[in-house]
Amino acid sequence: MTRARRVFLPCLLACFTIVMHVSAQEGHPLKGTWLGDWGPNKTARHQVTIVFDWDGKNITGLINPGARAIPIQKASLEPNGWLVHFEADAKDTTGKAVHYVVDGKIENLGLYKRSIAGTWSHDGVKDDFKITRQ
Amino acid sequence: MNARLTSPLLAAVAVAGLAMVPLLTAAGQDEEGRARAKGTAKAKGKPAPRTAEGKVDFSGIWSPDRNFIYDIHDALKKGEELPLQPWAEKLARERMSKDDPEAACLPTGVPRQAPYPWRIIQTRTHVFLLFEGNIHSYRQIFMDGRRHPADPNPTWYGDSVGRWEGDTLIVDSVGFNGKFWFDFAGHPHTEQLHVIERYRRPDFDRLDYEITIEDAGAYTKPFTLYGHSSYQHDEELMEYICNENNKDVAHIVGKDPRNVYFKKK
Repeated sequence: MTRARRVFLPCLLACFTIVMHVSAQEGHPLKGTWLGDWGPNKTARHQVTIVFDWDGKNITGLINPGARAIPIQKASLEPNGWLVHFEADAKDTTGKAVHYVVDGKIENLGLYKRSIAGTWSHDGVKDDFKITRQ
Repeated sequence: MNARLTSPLLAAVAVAGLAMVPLLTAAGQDEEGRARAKGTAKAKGKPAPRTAEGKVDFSGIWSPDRNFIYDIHDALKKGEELPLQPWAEKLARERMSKDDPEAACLPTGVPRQAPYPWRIIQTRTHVFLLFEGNIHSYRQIFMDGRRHPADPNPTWYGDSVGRWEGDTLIVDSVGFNGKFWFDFAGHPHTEQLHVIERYRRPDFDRLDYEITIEDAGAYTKPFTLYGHSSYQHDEELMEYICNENNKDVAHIVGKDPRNVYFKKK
């Protein structure tokens, strides 16, 4: 390993450690942008970006913001257990309508980079998902 | 005079002179201290000073109010409760001190205070609040009649505009980020936060404030906090750089006990 790399890598690690320490949970626990994936097993995964917002009464949001954004419906957060629920009407790759029902739980609530993990159900199938706040 | 004779004499005078320096300095300090104490005593009970324009002058160094440090419940009127939304109360109960941005040397936001003195600098166009800690930072309040930007970038101290109502300084602030906690207890807020502060200086030594919090994102209705600070005679702000070798965070365990949730457990 070169001398520069020997110095750079520990510094990089230290920076990540500092960022993890100073990035605490903020505001409403769902508000923000979340990245992750869902699917039936470890290899067949669908990448997903979800943006949640909170106006004081309602949780709104989009799955995969952009030209093919899917609005989130019936979103809720149950503080007892920090349980998250939302649904969405989408289309699969063949254009067939598909209804998603997503149930999860917030993990590591105190962290800025907290996660939600749970089930992503559609067409009678129950897949798993995990998204992490960015 | 012979140089061989003058040199020891000069040396003796110099040594005697040097020996006197601490005595003279100490005497000077005593005199200065007495004068300062006299000034302090003189200031007690005096009316609030005024600027050349006739406005109450809030300038000076002020003490923090503990009710704005540990748990803002303590700054409510007796018998009142914080109107927290259910998620916000649950979050406050579960937040641990190690996750407090203040512990990581980030700004305290508004209306939180750090346990260090702060200084008000008042001009015709601005009021500045200089903080010794948690970070060596400042708030700026625009007094030139401007309005808030239509869509301010969310920041730690928000966008503050001030105006006078008689002898009361009213500061209206919006544009906050959601990153800071209101207190050690972990009371949250959202980017919808709107803060209205009313400052009065009834006499030289006392600063009273009422702070109304509107945040429909985390609270069911507005509420008002009440506090006061004492003028700090003969004090100066010290340099305090929290993030220089900050070793606290890794050692903080659990939740600060100075909050209503510990009492209501």
